[in-house]
Amino acid sequence: MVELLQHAAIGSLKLSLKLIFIIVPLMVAYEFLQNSKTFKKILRTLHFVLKPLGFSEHASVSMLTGIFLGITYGSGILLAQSEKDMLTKMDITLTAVYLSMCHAVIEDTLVFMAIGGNGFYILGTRLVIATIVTFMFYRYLKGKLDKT
Amino acid sequence: MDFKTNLKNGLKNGLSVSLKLIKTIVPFYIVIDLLRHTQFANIIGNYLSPFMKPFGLTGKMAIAIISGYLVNLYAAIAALAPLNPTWQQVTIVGLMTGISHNLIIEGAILHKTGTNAFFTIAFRVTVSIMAGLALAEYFRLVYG
Repeated sequence: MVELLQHAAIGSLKLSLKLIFIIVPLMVAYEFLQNSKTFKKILRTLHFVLKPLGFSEHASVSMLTGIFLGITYGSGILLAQSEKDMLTKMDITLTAVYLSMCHAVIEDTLVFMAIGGNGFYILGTRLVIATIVTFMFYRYLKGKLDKT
Repeated sequence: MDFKTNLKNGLKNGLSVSLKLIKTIVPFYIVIDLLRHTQFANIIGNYLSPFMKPFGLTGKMAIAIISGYLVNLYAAIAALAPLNPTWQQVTIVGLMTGISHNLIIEGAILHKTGTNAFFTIAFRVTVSIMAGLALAEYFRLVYG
């Protein structure tokens, strides 16, 4: 019993350490990226991708933050922006739909890669599915939201 | 923003996430690793294995999916790691719990903001199950 417990404790600590070594550098890297000039370029590129899905230009910041860092950070920015009336009703709905399926993807993918998962399939499938579902919502809501 | 501030904020965020992660992983991992050796886990595993088969997972791995759905991804990882999963199984669990996780807390928060929590939970679980089935089917076709 003691041996089993020891085995479990060591295994859990090893796994925790592995994940900490992934997460801390990731957070540091994101902090640098967020405050760099490249960030604006990425936002502009993202808008090209998001435009056909029904997003306006202002939605890019909260989408980027939400997709990469997580829904808590993303929704903070989203709330700040919607208070400034920068986002359309469509933006808010679509962002919620997309981010509910697809947030904090870098962290999520890396932690599963740490125990042997394939990052390409985890990330790729998630992005593709979230994009398809969001597009379906856009098509469905297009006529309805415009009228109100 | 200078170099020092970026580094400091990044480290602070990283460590606070890490702390949260240890709190989840250590207890979950220990419980699952110990349960693995008991008859109880085999009974659950046998009972759930027909439901998990379409996902290419073993019955016991249902615990990882459920942990992910109800708690968070770290709970799912902690429950999955001791079961010696193949890379396909890790990938499928990663995809499914990635789409749908932490449903109780996130549902409660959404409920407060006025969104229909029942709808978002049902929506995410449905998408997650369909995604898992699709990826499992793809793996069967490509990798056998």
